[in-house]
Amino acid sequence: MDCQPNPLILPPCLDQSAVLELLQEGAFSWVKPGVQVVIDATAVRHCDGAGAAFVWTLRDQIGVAGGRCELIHASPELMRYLDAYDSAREAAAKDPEANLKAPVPEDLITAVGRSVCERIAGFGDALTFLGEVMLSLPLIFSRHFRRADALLAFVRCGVQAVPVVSLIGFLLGLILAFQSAIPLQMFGAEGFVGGLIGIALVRELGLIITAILMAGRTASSFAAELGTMKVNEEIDALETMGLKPVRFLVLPRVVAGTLALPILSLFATASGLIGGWFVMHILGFSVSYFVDQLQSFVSFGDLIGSECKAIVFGFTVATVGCRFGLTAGRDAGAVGTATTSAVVTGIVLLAVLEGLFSVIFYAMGW
Amino acid sequence: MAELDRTIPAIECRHVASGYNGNVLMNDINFTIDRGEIVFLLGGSGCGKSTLLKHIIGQVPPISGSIRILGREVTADASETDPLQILRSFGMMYQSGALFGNLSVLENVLLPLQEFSGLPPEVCETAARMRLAQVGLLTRAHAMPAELSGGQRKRTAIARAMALDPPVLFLDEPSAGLDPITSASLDELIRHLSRKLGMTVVIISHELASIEAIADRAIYLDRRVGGVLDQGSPHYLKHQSPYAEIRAFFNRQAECSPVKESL
Repeated sequence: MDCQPNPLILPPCLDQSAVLELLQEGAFSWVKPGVQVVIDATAVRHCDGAGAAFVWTLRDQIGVAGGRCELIHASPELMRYLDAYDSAREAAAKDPEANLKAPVPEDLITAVGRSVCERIAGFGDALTFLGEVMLSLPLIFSRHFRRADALLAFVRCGVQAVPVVSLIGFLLGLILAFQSAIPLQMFGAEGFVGGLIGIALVRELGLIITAILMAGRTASSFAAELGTMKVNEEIDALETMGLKPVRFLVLPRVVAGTLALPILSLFATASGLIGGWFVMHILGFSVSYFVDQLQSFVSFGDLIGSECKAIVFGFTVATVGCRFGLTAGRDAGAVGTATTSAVVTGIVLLAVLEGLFSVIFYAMGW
Repeated sequence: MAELDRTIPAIECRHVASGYNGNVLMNDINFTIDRGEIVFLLGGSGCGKSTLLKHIIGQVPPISGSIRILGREVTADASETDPLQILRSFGMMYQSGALFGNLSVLENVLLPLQEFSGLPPEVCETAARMRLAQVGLLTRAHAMPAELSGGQRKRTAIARAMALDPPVLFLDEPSAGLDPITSASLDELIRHLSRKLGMTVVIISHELASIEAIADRAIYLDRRVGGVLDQGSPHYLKHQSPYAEIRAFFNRQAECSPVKESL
């Protein structure tokens, strides 16, 4: 058995800096099998948490490594630290509900299974929420509807979004016209650029780009706002007062979103057409030619169809944002998760709905 | 902690004007807190106790005046003093606990040790677990803050605040909302930190039982006089203070008398 000739003599002030010095002198190098160490605490007059932690860890590690460690002449202060910790550990070991060890990460199959189950349950809850929102829609016409809140939400998600939506729409029309004009010029068909971007913007792109912008801008804002209210227990306070969050918080936002998206999509489409006309002008075509092109390729029905879709998209984006806000957890990270989920789910649902509308419109011959 | 000159007061406030954005709450706060004392800052709701605490810990600069922690000027320019040295000289427990929600209880307490102590990971972990054992939370080491009760959150916050054995500990409403037994055990812990480890503890609280049980001194702040109305031991303030409102405060009586009954 390896016997240490000199005991480890602890300094009078066993604090953090003293521990660092002892560590630099290689105190932990004594942690090896069969070693016998004497820790002499005779000189210790003052000991803090770091000092006590050092003594306890050294003693523990020597023991685990198969050595023997004896602490001699320890002051009552140091012993109180060590004994209190030992007895707390003993008590904790006997406590069946203690979280003594870090939770083991679940294996892949369990994680996938749990995630699928949660998603199925979440889908059911989402449908229930949708039902609640639909059932509360008639309240729009009652005196209980919070018109001021709806107006404020409309300003935030609609009016304040006009500049960004118009800019993106304009650039979209510009880029679309440029990129289509180059190949069409090869066939002498650049005159049809107006018709092409007209159909693309009015029927699909103006709306899609606005809806995606709204999912990123408004759904996230609704989710963060309601999520923070959940963290601050404001939602609980509403429920305790007998007020339903769906009527009080969700309905004004859903109404605002449903009204804002069709209007914003008109702005995006109009700006896109202006961008397209700008390219046509550079190519040497007149305004009247561009308008003729639009009239011959784009019908009023296309615009009506697009606006119908916009109403559904607006309702979806706003509802998704509110739903994720209301179901957020209660910590700061939960608000971030809710916001991300709202945007991602909103965009995925937009793509699914767009596909459904395409099938329906095709079946209707629209 | 021990190598610091014990003759230097823990905290000195000299002619401090307290407030936010030029809005003065109190215009001349003067007091000294000695090393190892347990001092309660008292005063009516909204008088500016929490704001004063924010000035002392350097979170919000005072409008004017001088604040020193262990002789280091908190209000001094960063070029004249090391802000990190000042920050390391105290621990702070916020009223809400302010635990990091994405870290477990143990990780919350470990964080300052890992970042600042320079100790090896195994010693850091033992030190953190010892702190948790001291506040009676060793069994919840791997629980997340969201799973804790209000009292457990506060105790975790105290464990985190004292993780680095700071010479000064600030506690904002440590026992608010706790049951009397937990509150008494918290008082016992605070007394232990002060008596055995020599920590100076500054507490904002209205819990009379705590004040009477552990306070060495209480400082009563009043907006109407713009600073300290009176200070002394709980016994003095309760029975001998010349101010009726302070006696009423300690005797749990409603009062609406003027600031000064007699002098």
